[in-house]
Amino acid sequence: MKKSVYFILGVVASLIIGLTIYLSQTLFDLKEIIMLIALSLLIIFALFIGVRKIISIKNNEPTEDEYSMNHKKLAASKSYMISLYLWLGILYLNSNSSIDSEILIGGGIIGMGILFAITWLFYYFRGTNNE
Amino acid sequence: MNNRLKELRAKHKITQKELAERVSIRRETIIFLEKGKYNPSLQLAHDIAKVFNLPIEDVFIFEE
Repeated sequence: MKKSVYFILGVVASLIIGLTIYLSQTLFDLKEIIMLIALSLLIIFALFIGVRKIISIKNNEPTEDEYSMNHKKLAASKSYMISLYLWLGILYLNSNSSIDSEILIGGGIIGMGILFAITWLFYYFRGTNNE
Repeated sequence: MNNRLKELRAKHKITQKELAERVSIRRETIIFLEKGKYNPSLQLAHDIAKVFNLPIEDVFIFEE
């Protein structure tokens, strides 16, 4: 229950921050805002994982066990597979658009992180039964 | 695969936390097991069955 509350608070905070930055567009352009929101989401996800580990330590239970390892491996393998399509799209954009390669590579790396977070959350709510 | 974890825990008056501690896993894993969202390894199924002094097939029900 506590974990879910932390996660929801994190998402709300990131949305507020994102919206605030968007409304004060004098400082950032759209590309920078998207990158900032994506980075914020990744940081929130990392904090969520960190808080889970701290709670486990406080409760004198292992930080990793059979289920959490399976969950992590499954999320990592699925997100890697999906990210191949992301890189395919980036390759297409690289040769058919004027966006800098550095931005595309950075976006791809952040995208891989976000894909991992999404698949991790998907299996967290759905479970990893018979996978 | 179904299981009788919740029923057996209630019968033996063991909390999720206690069961998790006795088989050295996280309480969250017990929750996922009880909800049927995770199939345990043979080792974990054996350890859990041992806590209740029952054979594995009496705790975990395999479906064909």
